[in-house]
Amino acid sequence: MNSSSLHLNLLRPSERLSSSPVRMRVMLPVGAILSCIGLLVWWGVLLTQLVMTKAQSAGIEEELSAKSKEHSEVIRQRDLARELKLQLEQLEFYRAGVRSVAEPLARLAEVVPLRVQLKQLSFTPPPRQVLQPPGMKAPLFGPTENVETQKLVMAGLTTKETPVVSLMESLEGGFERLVTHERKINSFRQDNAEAEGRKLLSFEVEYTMPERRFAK
Amino acid sequence: MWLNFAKPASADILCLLSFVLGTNCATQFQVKLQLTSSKSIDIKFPCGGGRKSAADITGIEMFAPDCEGCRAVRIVNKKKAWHLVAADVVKDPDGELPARWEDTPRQPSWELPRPFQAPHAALAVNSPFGTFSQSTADAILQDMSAGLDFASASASPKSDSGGKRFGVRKAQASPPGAPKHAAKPDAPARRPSLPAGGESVSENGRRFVSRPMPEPGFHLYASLPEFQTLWVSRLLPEGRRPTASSIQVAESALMASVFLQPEFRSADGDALAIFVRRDAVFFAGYRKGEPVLWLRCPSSGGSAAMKSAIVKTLGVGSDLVDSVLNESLIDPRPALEPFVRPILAQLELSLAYLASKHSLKFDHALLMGLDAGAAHWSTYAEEALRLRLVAPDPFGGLVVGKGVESDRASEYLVALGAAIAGAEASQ
Amino acid sequence: MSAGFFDNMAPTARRSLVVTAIFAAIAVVIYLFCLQPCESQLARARRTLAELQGRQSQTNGDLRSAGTVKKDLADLEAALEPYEEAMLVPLLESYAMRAKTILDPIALGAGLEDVRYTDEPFRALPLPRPMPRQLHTRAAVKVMARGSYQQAVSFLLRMERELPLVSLQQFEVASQSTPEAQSVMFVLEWPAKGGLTRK
Repeated sequence: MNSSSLHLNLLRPSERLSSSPVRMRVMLPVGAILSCIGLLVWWGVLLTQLVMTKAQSAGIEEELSAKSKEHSEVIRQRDLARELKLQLEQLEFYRAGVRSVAEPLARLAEVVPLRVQLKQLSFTPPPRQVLQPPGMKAPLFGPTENVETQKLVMAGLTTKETPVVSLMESLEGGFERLVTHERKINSFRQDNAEAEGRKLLSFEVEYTMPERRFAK
Repeated sequence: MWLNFAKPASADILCLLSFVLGTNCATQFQVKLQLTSSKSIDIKFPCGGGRKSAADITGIEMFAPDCEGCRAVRIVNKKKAWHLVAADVVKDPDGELPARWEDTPRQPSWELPRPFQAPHAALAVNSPFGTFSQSTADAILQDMSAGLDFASASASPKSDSGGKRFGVRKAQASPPGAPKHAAKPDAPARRPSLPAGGESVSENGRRFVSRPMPEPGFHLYASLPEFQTLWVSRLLPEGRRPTASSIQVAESALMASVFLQPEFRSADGDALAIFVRRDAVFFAGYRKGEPVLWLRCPSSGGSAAMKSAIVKTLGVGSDLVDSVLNESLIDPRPALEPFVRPILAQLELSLAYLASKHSLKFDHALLMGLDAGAAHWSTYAEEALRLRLVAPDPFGGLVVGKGVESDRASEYLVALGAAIAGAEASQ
Repeated sequence: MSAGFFDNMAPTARRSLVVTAIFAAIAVVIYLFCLQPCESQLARARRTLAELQGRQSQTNGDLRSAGTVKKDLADLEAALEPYEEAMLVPLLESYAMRAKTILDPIALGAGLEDVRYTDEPFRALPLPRPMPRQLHTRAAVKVMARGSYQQAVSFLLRMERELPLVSLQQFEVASQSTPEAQSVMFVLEWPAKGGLTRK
């Protein structure tokens, strides 16, 4: 039993109004309009940012263009300095390998005993530089090693071995720029030459010279 | 609201938008999906779930001829009981119920006093062009067709002497009572169809709603002019409480006013009621709560005629009529009996009808709407028909709130009935 | 569903729907044709600005260091000057000819006779890392003369004093019939410009 059987309602559902103060009929268009306005404002903000960004970029470009000449000069100088520094470094490699042996050679004459006659004093040639090792397609710009070692060869005649020993002993001190302690007696034998009725002895001594190091 | 997958999605989107924008927030929660031509499913949205009963509703009787203002009641369902929280006469809306299409341009906005600001309002309209009747289907269709010829003979829909109001063109509004012109030979005669139970249809400028009665072939139907319905529907503005959830014809509301009566409920919905209005007397019969009879008593006036007869016959002042009827110092029978006799005669016929057609036998009937004289009526009915007339408290079955005056409760029957019907308790 | 449903809508609801649809369409148009392109442009502009700011800060940094660069360059040029002066530059495409012009006075002063100059193979110098564009090399010239050991040593002493960057690569004194006329051979090295590592 209910009253709905007696509810003859002439009002249609579509005609019913809402008592809620929030009406979709109002809120939706308002929302759509506000959305449009919001989007327009957002667009305005973006446009403003775009204009400001472009203006900033233009300002920086102008500044860079004004400074470009000066900047190029600084870059050129910096590149040149870099180049010169490297050149100087290589030249200092050279300076490090400069050999100064004139003074020890001068003193050598003083320490040669009377009974020793030097026939020959020479440096062996420096080792060959191989700038294109096998398997390489192009030559290297520089050597793979920065150390060169040569030998000092002394050859001469003497009456007996003692003067040669004395000579070698003399060379053990004060001649570091000329020879190292590494030496080898290549030969020591009787020669055909004679002096004072005696057969002379010929000798050849080889000293390892101090290495030339082309490095800082 | 209907969605059809066979139609383009744009139509569905339109439906959805119109649903959202729709003016109805309380009832549009059901969607029927037409899957195939023969298969469909109903989907109820979780926040809705179909028609909900209104637990707080204001019932208003509008444009009663005997009242300066509109009688209004507010009932609230609390703890499974209906409470009457307010009953009073509220100020009329600023305007009268329009009698012609041309009167509708001015649409007033009506604000009810705070005690009556329920979420929903059921409006019962007293309109001279309103109809509430028990009829056969053919009679109803004939009534719906009334004025059809006039409408087709009148100005074409495109002529706009009055423009469009409420979305309705003037051509659709045919004033009732207009002469029926013969149909033009070339005008197609569209035959209206009976509306489905509970749904309103508009035909020829009038809006109809009907529902079948238990007796086959009979329907209970109500109608109002379309422009009046639309005008009333917009009186209570959107966004404020209350808004109209129901528009009824006053007699329709009256018929529902007994539903909360303890006597009605104790009889399990079997009842015979006599409604005495100002200008007429109505008989209403119910079986298991369903209406089985609604009859306006012919050749009889209402309470106004009764009081006039007493004044004229007994020579008392009109302000003393109630005293005469309620007290035993003066016997009102000479004035009252001639008035009541034809009513009782018709009542006898109605009793016979109810007994024969619906197997309803009554030893008493509810007498509603009489402020005074109910005891005399009962005496006469017992003498003539062995029928006891019981005049219950019109607010019977309600928990009357403090401050609600109930001395003239009979005058609020229509408003109360509108609220009860509009509350539409769920099945 | 038919258009009748739309027709049956309350006029205000219909108006509201139309207004909503119009403004929603406008909003979509604004978003697609105004906002999105603008955002793309702004992103590009910001990238450009960031690049320019990078270049600007780089430029300003370089310009701030201009003084230091200039000073470094001057220092380097000063440091290179002795090498530039000592560099052996060919005379008439001959390094030996140049060496002759430099060494003849010294040889004459030392008392050496019959001095002859010939070109010897150049020797490469080790490479710094990274490589300079302009390489330098060890230009060698063989000097052969006749004189005594003392004259040869005297030549070397004077050479080392006056040409500190000239180095003795090889030396040979071989006795002849008389001690005053010994065969003397020097191979002297000078710094000289070499090839380019890149254009």
